[in-house]
Amino acid sequence: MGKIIKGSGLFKKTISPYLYLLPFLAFYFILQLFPLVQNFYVSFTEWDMMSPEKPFVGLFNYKTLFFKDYLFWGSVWATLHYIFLNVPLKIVIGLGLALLLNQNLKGKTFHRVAIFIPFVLNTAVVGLLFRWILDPQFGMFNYYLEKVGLGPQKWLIEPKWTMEIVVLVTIWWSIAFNAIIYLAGLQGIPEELYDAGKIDGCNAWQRFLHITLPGLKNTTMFVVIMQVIGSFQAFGNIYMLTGGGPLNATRVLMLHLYEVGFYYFRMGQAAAISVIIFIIVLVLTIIMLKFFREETE
Amino acid sequence: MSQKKWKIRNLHKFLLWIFITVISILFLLPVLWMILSSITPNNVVILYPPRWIPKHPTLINYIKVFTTTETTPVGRALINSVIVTFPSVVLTLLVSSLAAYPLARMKFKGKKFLLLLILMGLMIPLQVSFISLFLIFNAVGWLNTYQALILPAVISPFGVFLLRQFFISIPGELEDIAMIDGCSRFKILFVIILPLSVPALSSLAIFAFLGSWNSFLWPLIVMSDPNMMTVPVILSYYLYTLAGLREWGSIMAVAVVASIPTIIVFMAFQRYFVQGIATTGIKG
Repeated sequence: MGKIIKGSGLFKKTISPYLYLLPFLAFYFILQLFPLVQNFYVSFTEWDMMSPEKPFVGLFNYKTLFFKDYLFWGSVWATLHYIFLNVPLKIVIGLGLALLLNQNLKGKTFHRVAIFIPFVLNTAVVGLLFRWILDPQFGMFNYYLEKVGLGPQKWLIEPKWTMEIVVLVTIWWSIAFNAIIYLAGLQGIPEELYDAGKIDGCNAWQRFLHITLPGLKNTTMFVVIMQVIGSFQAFGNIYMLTGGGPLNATRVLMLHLYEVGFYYFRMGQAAAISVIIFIIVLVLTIIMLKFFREETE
Repeated sequence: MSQKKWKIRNLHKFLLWIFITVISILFLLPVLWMILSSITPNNVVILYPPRWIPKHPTLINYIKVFTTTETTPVGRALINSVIVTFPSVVLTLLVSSLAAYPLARMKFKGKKFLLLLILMGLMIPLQVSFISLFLIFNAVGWLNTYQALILPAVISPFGVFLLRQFFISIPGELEDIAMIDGCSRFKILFVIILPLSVPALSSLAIFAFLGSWNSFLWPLIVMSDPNMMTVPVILSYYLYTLAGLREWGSIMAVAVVASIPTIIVFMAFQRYFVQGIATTGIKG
């Protein structure tokens, strides 16, 4: 009798950790990892929602994207354009805001809340709100531009500057995230380092260059990686602000994927686009991790 | 000399203060304009030159979007959002707590591998599997259902990591004592560990709430029936029905309705919010 109880206790001990993990792992495997793998398979088939047959077509979908779909290359370019504007600007401005918020100025809570409120808004709200503010005919922005003699401009109607606007709106919406992370990074740098710097006669700029920046290296690595991954996922802010236009100037890869998949229901081709995004993100993440690791060595 | 230095220092601080205050106000202006537009009638809000403060503020836009019969009223979308968000948050907390506990406190085979696997989930954008996720939900006939939005929202590698880090920081003596008293592991988790983890659970709850409430692309894909759309999706639906008619006041009223819950939650739990980002640095 005693033996059985002891035995079942051992059984319980070995199996119980997995039981706790089971619900999470079940969701994780069925709804994240399995679809990720299945996506590869779908990308090799001609998966039309209407027809019951899903013939295997090899690399056909990829060939179509690379050689026949001029919108695909346009969306690759638009995604790069978005990333090259978005990532550096958000790092510099995020760090700048963090430095300001770290100064212990009066009304610090107000400043923090003000910068943070846009961050909790929905992407759909953000896109629509700026569509309204930038409306070429009735928008508030053109009104003030005209007052200072610069307007009116055809915002969001002419391709020129549209991506810049999309990025500025995105910065307004999400910069608080970077600012808070940098703020935490700044507060993690030991005060003694600054005292030592002062004693050695370093001025504020030198202290920033030789103490603050090196102290933020890990934070920056984290922010850059998250930002690049996040930029590939950008959808709602662009979809609601420009819908990918004008003349496809802001049609990033996710928008192209959405249209191919859920407007034309060409699932095989849409899956191929997801695979391409996945591979680019994976390769970039590995390169960035390697780069930062070498830097710190 | 030192007095002069002190003055320069103060002037310097004052200029910085002006700068950050101007930036803060600029950040708030679009939100203010959204609210003011929403209480201005549609035909007045597009008058030129635009006026910030309406002469006759009105709730007519709100009444319109809540009682419209031409399209799905926003109340319906609000109900959908609430029905989706609450189970998402509760299940995320439960599932993540259960998973985080053995990862923090028990020794077992394959733990390192599992940690790595979950960490991978942080790096992979969920969007890249939306096509086949859509096909799965389509195959089981769950498009236009609440579970299509709730179930994928429960996966939170971020939550598992956040809670695991927190559980590790709780001293083990309490557990040892409880164990000697004959408490089961399961009971320990719910009676000792979780009550001590309120800060981490609050952070996770806020992020799960925001993530679910603000989720846009997946609901847009799954909910094609206007009666099942959540608030963000109904906004895009309205964009192509109302904004085409230049009904910016009404559109902004819907935007305000969509934003109020998140702004209230942010204001109420500001501290946890900032802490949550600062300690783990990942957006919900």
